[in-house]
Amino acid sequence: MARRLCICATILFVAFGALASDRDCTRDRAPRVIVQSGEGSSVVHAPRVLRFAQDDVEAGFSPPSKADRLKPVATFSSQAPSIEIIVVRIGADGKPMYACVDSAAAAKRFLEAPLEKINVREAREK
Amino acid sequence: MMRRAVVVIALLFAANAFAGTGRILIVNADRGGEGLNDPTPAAPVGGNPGTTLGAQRLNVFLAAAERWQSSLDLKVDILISARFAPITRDCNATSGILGFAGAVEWRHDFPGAPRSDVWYPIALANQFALTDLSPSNPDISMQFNSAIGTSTCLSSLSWYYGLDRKHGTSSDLFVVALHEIAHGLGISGTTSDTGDFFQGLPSVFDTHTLDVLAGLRWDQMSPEQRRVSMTNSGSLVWGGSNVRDAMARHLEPMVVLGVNSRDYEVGAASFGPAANRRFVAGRMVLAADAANDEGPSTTDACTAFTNASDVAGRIVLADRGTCTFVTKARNAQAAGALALVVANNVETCQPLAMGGTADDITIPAIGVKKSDGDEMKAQLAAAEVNASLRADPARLAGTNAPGGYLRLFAPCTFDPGSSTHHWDDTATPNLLMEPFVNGDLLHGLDLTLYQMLDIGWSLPPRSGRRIGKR
Repeated sequence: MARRLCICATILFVAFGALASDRDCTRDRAPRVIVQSGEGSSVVHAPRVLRFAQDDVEAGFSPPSKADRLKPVATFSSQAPSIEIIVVRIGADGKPMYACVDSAAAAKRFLEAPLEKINVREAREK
Repeated sequence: MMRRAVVVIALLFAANAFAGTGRILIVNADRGGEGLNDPTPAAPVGGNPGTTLGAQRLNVFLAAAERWQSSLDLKVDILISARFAPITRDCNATSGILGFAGAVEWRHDFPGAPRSDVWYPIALANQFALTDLSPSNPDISMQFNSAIGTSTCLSSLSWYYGLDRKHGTSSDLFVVALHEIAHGLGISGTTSDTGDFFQGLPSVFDTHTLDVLAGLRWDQMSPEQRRVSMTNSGSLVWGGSNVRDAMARHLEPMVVLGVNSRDYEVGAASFGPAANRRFVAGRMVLAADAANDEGPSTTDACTAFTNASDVAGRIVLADRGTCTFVTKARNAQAAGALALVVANNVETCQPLAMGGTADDITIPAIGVKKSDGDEMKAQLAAAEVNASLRADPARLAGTNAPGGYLRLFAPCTFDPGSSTHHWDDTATPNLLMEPFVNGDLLHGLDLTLYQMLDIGWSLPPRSGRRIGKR
């Protein structure tokens, strides 16, 4: 009985899957990327994590420790334990040197380091 | 038996029904008239039809989102809260922040979680749970700096809003957005600089982070072992099988310098011909030039060679120091050298990569570690040395060994925060998720897509494995 059920289900599974994955049969025909205004949006309001991140970067690179600032909102969830920051320095030759770091402290170090200490190939001219 | 079969079938149906139905939604979090709503008129550029600054910025975000959306099987919508606002703190003429992003929330032990006690970014957790576990929040947040290019913030720099890679010296917003969204989708982690896991649990990224020297993944290590592993340059790798299987289609063979019977790893130069484009072989000689104000050492190649007749037709070894790498290469080329090898003058864990710009250099130039250069000099002092500069087909650029793994960025000089969530910068060609967002990047997802598969994302229905190279 179980075997018969499995065979029938497999046939239905394949047919249903083909239908579901057909672009013409998905649940909407609208562009798959849409834009919603943050102002007055009924879906998502100004995200507090964005404000948290903004505060991190704007408020002098002295955020509290991760453990302090990351209060779990539920037993199994945690608010933004990581942030990736893209920083840039202009080299002696006028070319930009980019780096992606994962803390405000690392961003500060990159921005304040002597150019020759920056571990970007283009920074080393001699 | 019967009940189990029904449960399995129900789960399969549920997953199948959701296949490919999700979207990536950009949530415009800017205020009216600012950032993504900036009404300043702008001429369409590089395939971006927007006629205002705000529209062009939004179009780039949409294009980046579309790239990820079309490359992954999304079962639940992903909401990206996006802003394009000034980040003026610590921004001056020569330095500043381009932007930042991250997963808004992380979850573990949610319904459908493939592994217990592992953190997943909320966007990925939602895919496994087949529902939005946090419907009142976005999944990813990102902000970019709209102050760039103004008189007080990186005035010489600007964003490029085109979609055709013709960004010149401007920052290609499309590439930066692709990179940052990838972090939000899970190319990120929760491990602190001290090696501690957040609340004692690894992220899914950590479960694929492998230290081949220790023979352990990060989730198998103690915090102290992880702290040490963060600087285990060359030995910290990505253990996921999808990336490993796809590497040969994306990476070029590694360039090695063979000296007598030993092969040395080399660093590339940003000028001159690529060292992997030609095979160069010949005797190696040490540079000799005058010790003067332009270069106090007789082996620094800062002035015209005094042993030009020996150098002609050979591979010349010179020391780093005083003058630019381009100057050394010019002098070597003028002496008729086949190639230039520059030995670092300080010990580092990685071969010397050399910067500089020149259109007139026609010989390959490569750098080696100080200890390797010292070995070569010792051999040169004892006997004739034969060398070859070649691409090793058995080893891919950026991997730890023949048939090995792709390295993660783990500089041996500890720089907290900059490591491990990116590919090592020895990968060739440059990859989207290297820590230094390179100007030569194409607009593809390269090996990052396979990294996504390793952490649990899947390809869209019918796409199979036919993914174009870069």
